[in-house]
Amino acid sequence: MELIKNINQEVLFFNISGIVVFISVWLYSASWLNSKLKILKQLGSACLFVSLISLTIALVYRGIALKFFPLTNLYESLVIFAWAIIAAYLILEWKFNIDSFGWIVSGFLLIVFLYASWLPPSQKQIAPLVPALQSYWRVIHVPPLLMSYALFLIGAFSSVAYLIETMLFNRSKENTEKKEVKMSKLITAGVKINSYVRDVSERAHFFDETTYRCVTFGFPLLTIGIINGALWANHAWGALWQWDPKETMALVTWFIYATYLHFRLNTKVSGKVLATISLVGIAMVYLTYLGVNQFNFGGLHTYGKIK
Amino acid sequence: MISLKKYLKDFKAAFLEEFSSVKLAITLFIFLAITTLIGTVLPEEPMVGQAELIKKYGLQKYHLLKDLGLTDVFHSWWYLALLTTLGLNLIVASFRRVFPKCYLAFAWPVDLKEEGIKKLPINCELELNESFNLKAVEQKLKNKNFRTKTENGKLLAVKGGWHRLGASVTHIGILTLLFGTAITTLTGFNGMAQVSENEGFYLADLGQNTNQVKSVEPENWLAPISKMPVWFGRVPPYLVKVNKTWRVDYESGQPKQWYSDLSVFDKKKTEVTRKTIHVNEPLEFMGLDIYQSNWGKFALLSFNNEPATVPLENFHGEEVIFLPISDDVGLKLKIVQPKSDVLELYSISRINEKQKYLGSIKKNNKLQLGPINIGYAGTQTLTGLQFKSNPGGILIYPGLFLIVSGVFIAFGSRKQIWAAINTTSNKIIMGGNSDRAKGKFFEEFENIISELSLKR
Ligand code: HEM
Repeated sequence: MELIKNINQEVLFFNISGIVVFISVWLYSASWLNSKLKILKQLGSACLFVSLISLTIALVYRGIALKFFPLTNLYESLVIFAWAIIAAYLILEWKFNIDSFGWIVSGFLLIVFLYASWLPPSQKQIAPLVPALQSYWRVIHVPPLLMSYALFLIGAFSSVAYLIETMLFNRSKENTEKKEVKMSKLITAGVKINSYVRDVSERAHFFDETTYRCVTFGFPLLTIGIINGALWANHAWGALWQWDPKETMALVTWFIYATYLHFRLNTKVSGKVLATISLVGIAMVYLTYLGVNQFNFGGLHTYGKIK
Repeated sequence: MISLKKYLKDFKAAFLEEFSSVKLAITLFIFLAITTLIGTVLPEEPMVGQAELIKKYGLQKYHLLKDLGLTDVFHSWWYLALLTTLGLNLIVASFRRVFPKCYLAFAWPVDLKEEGIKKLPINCELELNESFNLKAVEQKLKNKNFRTKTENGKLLAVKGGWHRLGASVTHIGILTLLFGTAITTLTGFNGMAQVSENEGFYLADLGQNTNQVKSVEPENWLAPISKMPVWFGRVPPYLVKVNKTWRVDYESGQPKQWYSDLSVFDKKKTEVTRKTIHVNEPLEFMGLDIYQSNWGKFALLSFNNEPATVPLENFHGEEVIFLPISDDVGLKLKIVQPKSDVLELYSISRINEKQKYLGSIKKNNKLQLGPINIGYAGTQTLTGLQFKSNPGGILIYPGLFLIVSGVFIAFGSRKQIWAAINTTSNKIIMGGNSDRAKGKFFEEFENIISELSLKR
């Protein structure tokens, strides 16, 4: 009886969360179409914040029903993924003034919500855990991974924005030979600052940096998640690494973002190459997170499978 | 002779040059990503078995793919070659490129002349006055947590240099980890034992034999070890004893956890350690790790006097064994609870849902059923224990720790600011750069300048 009650409340808060995200899509879109409507953007962020809180409450209810950290099946994993996206986006928006793709992020969130609620009941059930999954390792293995996926996702949106921006910019630019553009900015009377930026617009530069930030935050989390997974496997099965498809896909993702970081050391690599690597990276994240089970690569990590 | 020496020297130089390049690292990352992806998508022999692959590809194609290493990508020679190359690259590059850069964490910015400052990514030239002079600028930068230094009309300031240590720490970590895993995978041993309560096992080198055998001591077994390719060391002389083993279920009857209370005895039969283990909670003792890997209840049966230990299934709360006889008919053997001292036999059929009672066998008795004679000698609980030695463990864990610390330290960027006075034009020239996050740094630079000018 207690269980049913908790579940009703969980569904209620999950739905509130989804509806608020739906509203934020409209608010962000409107502010994107007309940049003077800054207040709408702020309202959109407020909506996302409300959604984050209500999703947290839903997770707490579910956790109480399960008597466990709710991360046992695809549904719960998607809910935590959505949570991670909102948290990551709000932090980036607040710390680094990201704007202009709130509408993409909230639009994507809406898809995650719809997908989660579309899942068959067997995937949502509160089910007891098999012995192998009962471990605090589970709690420190998966959340860092989901958080890194969320950051890589936002990084990928930013890369798309970068590619679009540079294409438009290159067309309108008169002087294409010059590699560096000198800009001057008047701060107050008599105080002028010169800066050199690469041959891209300031906005493109900003998108490039946003992706870079997402990757520098995401890469350590991905590394920690993979390493915790290995340590857990060592605890449970006595082997650090078993070449299980989910493990190898995570390794592919890791190699791609390691490529990104090492390419970045060489300042002459064009932003387009980096943006493209970030997009390849997000495709690999998709394969790691959902693809391994959807395309039936097999292996031990089967919770995401839809029968 | 001389030319050979020269040749070797050239070769060494070329080798170091090539293997310290980040370009090679990136190429290898991309190759490894692609080949790992291929290995993930293709079914792998260790996972699905040889028969499955032959069925899928046909014999001829299977052999072709096997020769190419595509049936087991992760153990193929060329995957190993890629990893080895990456390892070499990592070692050479770490020592020639990454570690030497450590000093940058503590170094002052290089001395720049006025012309140099004007070429910096962000710079400005201001009238020298009470708010724009070296002292005021230095104070301001100090307030912003820069490390500063002035000498003969020049100011150097730097902040956040320590993240430069991150790459070195990460790379040291990866090297340590690689070394540790190499030791563990090349040396050491592992194995498996299935024993019941009050029984124990010795680790034993049984050569080709991979099945456990009864030891000369009545309650104990010899569990065979499989050795890794390079073997130096000896098999520990421990006796591992199961004092008690049990399982805890959910209310629904599904298993929740398996437990085994283990003691380890040395040669003189003195207990050296004791621990109750369960899945995810191994016993680790002197380089030997013992894991709870599975658990089960078994029926001790005999078929025409041939003994067999058959696992019991939990089916709607009953402990049963299903024995198929043909496609549609079979036998169901049911243990009568609670004492497990009677076995009941039923015939079952796929077509007809109803089962038919055939008879029952008391413990330690036999029953003739048509052509077969079935015997029942009670049930037994066996705990499946996996064990392994982990000689590289002392390197693996610190290695992992260093990798994680390194990637965290690598956050942030090294920001440098220069200022110089030009007495002839009575101006102060300032400029700065940052090795990463340029936009953020430009913002900070502009803030510093505007805050200084506001003071006027
Ligand atoms: C295999 C060949 C490798 C080479 C040649 C290489 C080379 C380098 C170099 C030259 C740096 C710059 C050091 C500095 O600026 O102080 C660097 C940084 C770094 N490397 Fe590697 N590396 C390799 C492998 C790896 C791997 C496998 C990882 C996996 C984690 C890794 C992680 C890092 C990190 C996190 C940084 C710091 C990046 C940053 O500061 O943005 N490296 N590497």
